[in-house]
Amino acid sequence: MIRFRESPQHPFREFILKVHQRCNLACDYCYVYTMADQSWRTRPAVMAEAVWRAAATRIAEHAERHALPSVRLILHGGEPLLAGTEVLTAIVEDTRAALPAACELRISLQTNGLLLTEEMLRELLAVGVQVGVSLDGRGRDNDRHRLRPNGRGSHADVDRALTLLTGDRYRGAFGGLLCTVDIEADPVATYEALLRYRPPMIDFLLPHANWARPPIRPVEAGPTPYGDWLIAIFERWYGAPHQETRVRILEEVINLVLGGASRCEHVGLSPAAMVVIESDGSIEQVDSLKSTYPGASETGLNVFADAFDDALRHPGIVARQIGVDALCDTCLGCEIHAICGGGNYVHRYSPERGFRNPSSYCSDLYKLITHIRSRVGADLAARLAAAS
Amino acid sequence: MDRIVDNRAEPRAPKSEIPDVRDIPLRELLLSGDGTVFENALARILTELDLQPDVSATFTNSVG
Repeated sequence: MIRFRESPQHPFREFILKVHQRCNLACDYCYVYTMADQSWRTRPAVMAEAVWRAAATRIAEHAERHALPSVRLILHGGEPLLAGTEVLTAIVEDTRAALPAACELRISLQTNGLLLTEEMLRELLAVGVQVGVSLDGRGRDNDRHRLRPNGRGSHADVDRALTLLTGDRYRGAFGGLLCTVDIEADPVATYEALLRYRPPMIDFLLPHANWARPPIRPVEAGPTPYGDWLIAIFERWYGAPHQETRVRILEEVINLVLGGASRCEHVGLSPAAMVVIESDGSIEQVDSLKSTYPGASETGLNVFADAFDDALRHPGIVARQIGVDALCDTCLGCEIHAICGGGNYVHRYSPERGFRNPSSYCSDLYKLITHIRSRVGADLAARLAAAS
Repeated sequence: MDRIVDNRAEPRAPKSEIPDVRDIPLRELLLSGDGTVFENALARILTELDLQPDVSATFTNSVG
């Protein structure tokens, strides 16, 4: 039972705009198109001006009501670049104009990179957009899953886009790389292939799975293939003589091990503070919930009629903000639950018990976290001994 | 939500596990400036704890 009225509400600070519902790739693991929820089929392909203007007004209202010093706008899809730079820059400018002067607007865009051109980058950089690109490592590994609708791979075109983005002129707009974990790929080779672009940050995402659709675990890969895969990258990254980039999931675990806080939804108990605005103006929870069951991300609210404060009272949002109270008994009995936080919320789902379950990646997370804890603990002990 | 930015608005540390790192004497000596991932993580956590006086944290219990 969620203790609804006792729960403090944490205002949203991250607003994800689904500016385009379609994609020019057909990745076989995509949670928008290949999993439980198929609502993309019935929504407008492109976000209309009336929708983004209403969203901007609601964001401004929320920022003012909660005296937010900054908010982040994320241009997302589908593939957001399909909307075109004219639409994207108009969204940014209209949102910026709507916000109170005291509230800083930070803007990100998450793209597959295929449509990135120099002209597009120039315009995005001019309005302050940070560009994150999705890439799954080496060519043959990336092209195993990140395919065009005709079955052709995408790596060569993404490489072209990243060469442009990471050049001197546009590097300031480079936000980082997202890579979905593929246990068929060599982890260190994957990391090093991404490192070639000198990203300010890499994040490795576990493929969306749950107890009804569990992670693929080939017998020969052992009981914790995803944990082992990430540990191999951790050792390569952590053991480098000088830090080469930031790796978000690993960095967050270290922060938690050292007594800090998580800032991403993979691990930890920090309240989630993101909300989605779909292309039809619907206010929704994180769209990765679409991997669980049809309608899982819906709130019944929309930006034309409802304030974001209304969404803060939605049970699904509340459940993401109450930290340890949302964990199941199994997690509460685990020694690392304050670090793990039950993992990514969507990975806990089962049709029988909803989201009060351990993560379907529980064994992998346990192995990864205890490995990092042990490694960092030894280094810390050495530092403390040297300092005393 | 798959994207490259942070999405926890108000980071919440696992308070129960950790004593206060600010009580560790000579904490400046913990930082050697070697530029490793560990060093940077340590520097970051010390800064974070300075910026969040209500977050009580310790190294010793949480990493044992």
